[in-house]
Amino acid sequence: MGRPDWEAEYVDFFVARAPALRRTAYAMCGDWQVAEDLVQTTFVRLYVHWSRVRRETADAYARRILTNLFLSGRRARGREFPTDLLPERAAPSAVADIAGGRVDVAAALAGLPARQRAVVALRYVDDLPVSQVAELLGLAEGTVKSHCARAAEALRTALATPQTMKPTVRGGPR
Amino acid sequence: MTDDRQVRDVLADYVSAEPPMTIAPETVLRAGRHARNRRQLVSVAAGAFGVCAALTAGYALGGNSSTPAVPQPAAGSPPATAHTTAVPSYPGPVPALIEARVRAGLPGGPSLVRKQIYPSDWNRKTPLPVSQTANATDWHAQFAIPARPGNQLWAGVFITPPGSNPSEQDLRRQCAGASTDGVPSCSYDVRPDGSLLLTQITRISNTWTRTVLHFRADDRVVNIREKAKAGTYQDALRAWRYPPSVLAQVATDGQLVIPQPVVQPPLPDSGR
Repeated sequence: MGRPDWEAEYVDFFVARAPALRRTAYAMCGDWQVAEDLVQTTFVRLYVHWSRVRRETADAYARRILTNLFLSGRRARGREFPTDLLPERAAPSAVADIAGGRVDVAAALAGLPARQRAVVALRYVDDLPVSQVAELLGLAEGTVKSHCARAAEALRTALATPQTMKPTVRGGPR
Repeated sequence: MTDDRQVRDVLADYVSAEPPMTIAPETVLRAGRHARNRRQLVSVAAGAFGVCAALTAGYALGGNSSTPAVPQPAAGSPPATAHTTAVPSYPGPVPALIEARVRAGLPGGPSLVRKQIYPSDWNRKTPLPVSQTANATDWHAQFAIPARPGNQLWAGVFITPPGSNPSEQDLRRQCAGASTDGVPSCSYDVRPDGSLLLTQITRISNTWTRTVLHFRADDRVVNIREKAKAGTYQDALRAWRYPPSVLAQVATDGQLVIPQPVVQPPLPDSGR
């Protein structure tokens, strides 16, 4: 049996997009190993449907699969409780991570509900516009904006670094 | 917004300490093939069961056994190969419009040989039934190029699912470091009206495709591509008839617009 002639195109897409999807997944789940599992499952499902996925929409399609996998996994596992240190594959830069505040970010993200984390990952890591995040998650744009605001506040509090995460002040005395 | 920028920076730093990727393309391919085979087996089994059930029901109801109902393919499950079906001729002004604009935009346009023009939608790569023409979100046109008998020219005019057109950041990321056989294979321009024009080169086996995509406002896309058989990029350069700048003339043609579907198809699902 021959291989489908679109496999090369699929592999090109995998090579081009898997790393970015893994970063998005990591921002959602906070664990590189789980992020890789999510990406692998995403690409397996994408393979099954690749012959009818257009290249122009493949990115959106993959993101939708990934997000649904993340959210359905959360539902299956039930309520998660945030911890100070997330389980994560040991990396050479672990010490630098702690010093640089990555652990604080991880804890702040872990404290957010799963859907809010998905919003944060899509909006700020993937740089998607609010409208696209809303469409992808089936939420109102206002809900996406309020999720973003709450997440920014949580990050700001967790990092407690007013210099870098100072809230934007509007108006005030002149 | 400044606040957004700060959150973005913090998160960019957070995800930047990534370990090496341990998933290999071969692993995903293997798992994908297994999943696909499993799915096909299940659907064949379900189809066989359905035919048996339909025939049994027909007999039970005293139906004429010499004219059993032909089971129809399920909606949303088009055949795996896209271009094996004979394409009927479709009503309405769109086929003629596409043909005229493609011919007008390309040198030697009048000599192009129209092979097929058909509507489709964002859930399939196959033609829609004639009765569904008004619900098309895509139109595809294929031409032969007499000056280059081995080449194919494809034009596609799309309405994409809301919000799915890429942003400039998406294209920047997509094109960063992209190459095919060592040749930079992706570039884009932001046009004065804010729309995006993407140029790509892809290679599958010995087929080289040069594609120009124009991402327009209101979830519109026009895509024009020329396929040529070639062993190397240098051969492909000689084989292609049209340079990207010429293909871009068609892709950005303001008259190349299709009507909104009368009934919008379901949004592409997540594949679950």
